[in-house]
Amino acid sequence: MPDHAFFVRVVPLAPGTPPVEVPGQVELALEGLTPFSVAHLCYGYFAVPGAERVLVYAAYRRRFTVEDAEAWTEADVVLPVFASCLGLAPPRPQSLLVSGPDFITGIGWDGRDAVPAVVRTRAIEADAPAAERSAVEAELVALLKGFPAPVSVAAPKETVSRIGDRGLEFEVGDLASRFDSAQLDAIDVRDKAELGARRRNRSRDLFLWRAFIGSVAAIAAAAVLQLGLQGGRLWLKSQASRASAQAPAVQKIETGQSLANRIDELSTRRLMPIRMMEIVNEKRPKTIYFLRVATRGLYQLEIEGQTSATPDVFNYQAALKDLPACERVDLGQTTDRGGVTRFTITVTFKPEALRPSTPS
Amino acid sequence: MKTFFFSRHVREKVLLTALLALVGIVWLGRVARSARAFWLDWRVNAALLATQQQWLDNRANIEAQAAKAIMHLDPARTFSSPRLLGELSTIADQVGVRSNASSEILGTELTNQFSFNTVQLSVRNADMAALLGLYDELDKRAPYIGLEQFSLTINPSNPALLNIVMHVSSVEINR
Repeated sequence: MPDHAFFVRVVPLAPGTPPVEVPGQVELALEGLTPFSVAHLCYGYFAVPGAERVLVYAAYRRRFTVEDAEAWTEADVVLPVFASCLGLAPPRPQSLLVSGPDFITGIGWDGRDAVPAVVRTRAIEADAPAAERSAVEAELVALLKGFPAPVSVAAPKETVSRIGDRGLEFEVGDLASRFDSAQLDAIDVRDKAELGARRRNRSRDLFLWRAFIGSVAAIAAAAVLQLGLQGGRLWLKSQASRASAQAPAVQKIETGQSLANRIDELSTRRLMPIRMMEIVNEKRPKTIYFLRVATRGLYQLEIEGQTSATPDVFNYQAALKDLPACERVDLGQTTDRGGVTRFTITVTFKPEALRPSTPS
Repeated sequence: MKTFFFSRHVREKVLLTALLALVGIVWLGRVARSARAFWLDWRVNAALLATQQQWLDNRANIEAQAAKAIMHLDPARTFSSPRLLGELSTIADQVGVRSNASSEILGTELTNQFSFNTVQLSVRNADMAALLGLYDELDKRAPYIGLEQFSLTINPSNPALLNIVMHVSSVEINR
């Protein structure tokens, strides 16, 4: 927007004014500086934390047409041209002459902070002769007396970066003027309530954008993983084929090992059921009769027996446990029917008790 | 893409994001399940291959061990399945239980160097003396013939008689 549409003032702030109170101070200052209520003004301000002044600019809302206001709805930021030069850093004494098509603005910084000390604008005809333009520039240079010699720059036309979470940047000659999102809301001359809504929409859109990007990334990751898994499956299939191919050979070796062990056992660790029965028979009470005996492996004997004297089963178990040849004696299922008790005892022998004398 | 996205209406943005999120979550979930199954299969296969490799690496040792196991055996005295059946019949005849005995070949396991034959011998209504005789005769033929399993049941009608079932094995050296 043209600078000459706005009046500009530097308003002092009370020392230590917190940033949240700056908007209220600006509105109070505008109420005093203009004959209009704040609701009838398009205004913005430039403040930096810790500064004891704020640059305020405002224009009567009716100076702008309905078409202007409609054009603003899609804009990233709406501000007078000079305001786009306020984000120069670091703060130091300097001055600028910003030339627009129908105005020239002089800005002077005294170096106390990033807020300009002076902003002066002169309107000029767009087709004014060079001499007239030089005269206006000379007048502004005179007004900026006390500041370093001004640098002439053309009014920034386009931003370098788009609005995002980092803010916005303008090219001012060879310099860059940067604003974060909070500063952009302050320098924007649109209705502050609308700006609040825009900020919320911007946050929502940013959240949706991040979710969108995250979803796209998840889909891409799933696709890559899927491809990787397919490759992995092919590799695994080849490995499984390899295992299947060598399984018969391995089975043969396993059988060889197993049979070699069994042949070895035939010579050194023979099954000796008669010897087992001799051992368990030593302590058998007269009331107990064996119904069935069966071996389990080389060193276990399972006995099914019956008796008419139930306590003898437990006495027999205890007696077997005391035998040095027995490693373990387990009493299994025991039933009593019609005065006859049937039981199962599993006896595990110590290997040394069943060692064959010498191989043949 | 960012410009395209930001230029959409908010409803379109939400729908587009929700759709993509749904696709991403469902797809990732499926891929995660497949990846877990793949990981399990890979571990099983890796363990199988490692075990197989151990057996293959030990092939020479095992063959040497097998050769050592049969080294002291006389090939002429080893028994094939039919010979084992015949030998058991002879033993049953010697101890006087042939008429009550029956035998059946259970199987043969083979290696390059030898085979291992197993026969089930059943004897019904034998007395204790016959059992001891049978056992002694088998014991004399060790290690060419060995007892693998033994089961003895009292005859319910005559407790003095026994029903015996044995799994008898024999080694046959391949020449």
